[in-house]
Amino acid sequence: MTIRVRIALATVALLGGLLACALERPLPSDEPIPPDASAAPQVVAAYHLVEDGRQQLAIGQTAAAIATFQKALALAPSSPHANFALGEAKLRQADYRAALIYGDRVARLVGNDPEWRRRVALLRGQAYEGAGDMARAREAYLDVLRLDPGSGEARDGLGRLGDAPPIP
Amino acid sequence: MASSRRPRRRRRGRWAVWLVLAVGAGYLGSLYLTVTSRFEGPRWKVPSTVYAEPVTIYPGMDLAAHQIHDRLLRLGYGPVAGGPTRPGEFRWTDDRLDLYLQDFVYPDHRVQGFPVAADLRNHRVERLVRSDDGVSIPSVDLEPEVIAGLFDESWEGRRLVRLADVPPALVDAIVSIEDVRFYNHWGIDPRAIARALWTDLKEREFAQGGSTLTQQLVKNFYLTQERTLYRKATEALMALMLEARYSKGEILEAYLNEIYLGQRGDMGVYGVGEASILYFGKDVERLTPAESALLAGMIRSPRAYNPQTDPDRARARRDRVIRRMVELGKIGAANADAALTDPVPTRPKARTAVRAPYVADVVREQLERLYSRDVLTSEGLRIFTSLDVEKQRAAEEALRAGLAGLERRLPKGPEPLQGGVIVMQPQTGHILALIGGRDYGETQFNRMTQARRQPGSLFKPIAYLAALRKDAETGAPRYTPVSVVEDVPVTVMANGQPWTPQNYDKVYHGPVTLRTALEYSFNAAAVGVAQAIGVERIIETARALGLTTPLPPVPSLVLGTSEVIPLELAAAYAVLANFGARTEPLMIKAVMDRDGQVLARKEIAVDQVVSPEEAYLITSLLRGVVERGTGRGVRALGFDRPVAGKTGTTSDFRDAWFVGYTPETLALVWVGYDHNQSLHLTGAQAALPIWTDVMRRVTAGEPITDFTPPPGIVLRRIDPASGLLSNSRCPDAITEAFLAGTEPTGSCAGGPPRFLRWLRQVWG
Repeated sequence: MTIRVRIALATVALLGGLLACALERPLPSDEPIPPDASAAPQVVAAYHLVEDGRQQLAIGQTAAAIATFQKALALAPSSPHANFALGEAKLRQADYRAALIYGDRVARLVGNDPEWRRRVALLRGQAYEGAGDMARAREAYLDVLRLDPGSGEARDGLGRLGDAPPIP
Repeated sequence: MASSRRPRRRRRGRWAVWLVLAVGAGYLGSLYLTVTSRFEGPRWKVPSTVYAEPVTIYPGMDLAAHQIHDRLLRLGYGPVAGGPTRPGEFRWTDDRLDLYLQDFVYPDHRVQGFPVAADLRNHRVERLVRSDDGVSIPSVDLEPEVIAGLFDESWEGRRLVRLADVPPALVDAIVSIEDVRFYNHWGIDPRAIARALWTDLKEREFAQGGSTLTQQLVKNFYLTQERTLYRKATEALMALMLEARYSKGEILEAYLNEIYLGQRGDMGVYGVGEASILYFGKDVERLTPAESALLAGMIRSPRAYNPQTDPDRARARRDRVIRRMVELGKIGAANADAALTDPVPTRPKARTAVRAPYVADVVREQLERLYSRDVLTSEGLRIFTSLDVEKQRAAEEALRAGLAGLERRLPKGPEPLQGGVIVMQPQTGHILALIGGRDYGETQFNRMTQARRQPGSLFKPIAYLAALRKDAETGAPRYTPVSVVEDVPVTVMANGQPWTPQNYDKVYHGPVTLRTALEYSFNAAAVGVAQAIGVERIIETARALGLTTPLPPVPSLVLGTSEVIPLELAAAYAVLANFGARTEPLMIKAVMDRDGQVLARKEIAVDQVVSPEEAYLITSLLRGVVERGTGRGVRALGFDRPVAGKTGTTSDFRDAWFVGYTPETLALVWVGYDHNQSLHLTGAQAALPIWTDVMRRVTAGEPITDFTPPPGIVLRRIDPASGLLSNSRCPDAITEAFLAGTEPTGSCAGGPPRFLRWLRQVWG
């Protein structure tokens, strides 16, 4: 095996490992946040569609899941759930610019809700990190820690950026 | 002599026999080739079907506002007095909608029709339940409406089925009533022919055919419908060949897919697959014996035995089929009795569908980049679009009524007044409605996607956006909404000639804020701003917004003298509505083949081309256009949602435009003549009323939302005259938006303090 072939194989293995890490990294959402009682009916319906889409995602039907999220968005463009789900999907697809756009939309829609802000900050952190904008990624992870000092994802993110995670 | 002539004659006779035999063999050979080549190749050209967006029903939805009743009728649902018991039926009362969904294959999943109940209050859904298991459901989709077919000569709707998927009862019913000796003959049935001949002789007309299923297939598949003995003989020969070459199963399957079974509007319904959806709302494999008998009975005359138009006659025919099946032992007595008591589906003929021919052309044009024309017209693709049928219909009505109203006011011109409408959803880029002209039958030219027109003042917001954007070098914008600009005569060189733009009212207004200049669409001020920031910067912004047509760097560019494609203009405004994120205009969402495999899927493509804050500033200015400026007619006409918009008029009044958006819906309207005659009307006079009507209709039932300022925006109370912060001395303040850090710091000097003004009022 020539040295060039070895270098090529090592590069492929490294890239594969990095990709696997990116896919394995937990996404910035966990439990669903139900819409509040004042939400428009379309927004409530979009929330349920997004939950259906998440189930499709969980069983590996990625294209169908994204189609469901898009359907939710078309039904209720001001749905934070639909926008956030698409942001997550774009993050998975390594389309970081699009992930940030959806994150910004959610931020405009949810105002000061701390749980939404935490999730959006985490989405931003991971999107900026993926896009190679480490300064903004750091800022976003620190935002997460300000809202949730125990956030493991934010600490992991900062760790990847080479920063010592602050003590919770 | 005579003896020598005889052998020659004999030889000639032999030659003649050989010639006849050779010609006969050649004819038979060519017939055989015809039979086999068509039967073994692609048998049918199945046109592609274009679908609109399915409608989602959910708790809280206003069914009246979303025209659900009309949609149901167009989808072929029929009202029933009792509860719906089969797909395609519904019952609507004041407080409840019971609905039995029809089968449908979506790009991601197949839905087998099921019953749904919606509790209603004032047409609004309170709760949705699956009636078969009583479980609450969050939403349910009505299957999408067909808006067009892509075909070459005629629209033959056909869903191909395999024999294995066809219920035996349907095969038995067809064989029993159409060709009882099908499994025993060789393609023709001498007994049936003799019986038919006898009947024809008795009746003294050529009415009874005595055709077997194989002959019927040959007639429909290979031959014309003419009634001649030659055609009948050819049919018989081909039937024999077909039977000699292929199995009964293959022939039967072809027959089941070939037969004509009625019309759905302008689409012919061919084969039992399409027919079972039309008449029973379900896939063929789920047909009951009674439904099978009804369908079999229709073969002889789909028009006469159509259950949608003559249920009594259809029922009598069905009962005859069932009784024949009993005679032949194809159905047991108990099953036959049950089938005979089964009511015939009573739903009326589907209401005329909404067709969107301009949309179909756009779909065809886009898909021809991926598939050949032949594939599009013969492979039975199913194309799912973003079109909202009700919004399309509403926009069509508004345009039709608006143009008719304008023509009553205008002197009769040499050609009909034209118009076009685009309705888009900024966040998804979905095109919800598209009307490329007044009458597709008259002219197929799509004025929204194919035309290039001058945008007039619709271009100004693009120039003002360029002025409000942060400079790459300084990091600060050149202008804010309250920057004072000069609306004064300005002379610039255009094509080597001095050019002095004028305002619509022929008056120059002196120093005004940038907001005022845009709200009232002052031309001179706009040219001044363009000169100050440079035309190249405006072109750069226009490109970022997605305009692709040539934009020469001339001073008049800011006044919209360079032609643009209306759809691109709508998409550019959608960027403003969408906080600077550009979504590619999207019409085709998915393409599926006839077997349900997804061939292509289009995701929403989004890119941030302008900052959310800069886009918001323009939205804020365009809201002022509607509240106070040239677009105030929108309010006068009663449209009271939060909205931003802009009027546009081109030189000599050749084009009248209005484009505007709520946070979730954008519409663009153009009115003009194809050959550029003057309308003698402005955008506010000609296009704005139509736009208002369109938006009033398409936003009905949608939630009212407002434009939320993004985080980098600060709002301040401003004195509109000076552009400075307001205080008690200048009370007529408005709320103004600024990029953070660009807001004014000084206060207006104004008149006397409020206290003194009050004293003056008190003391006269």
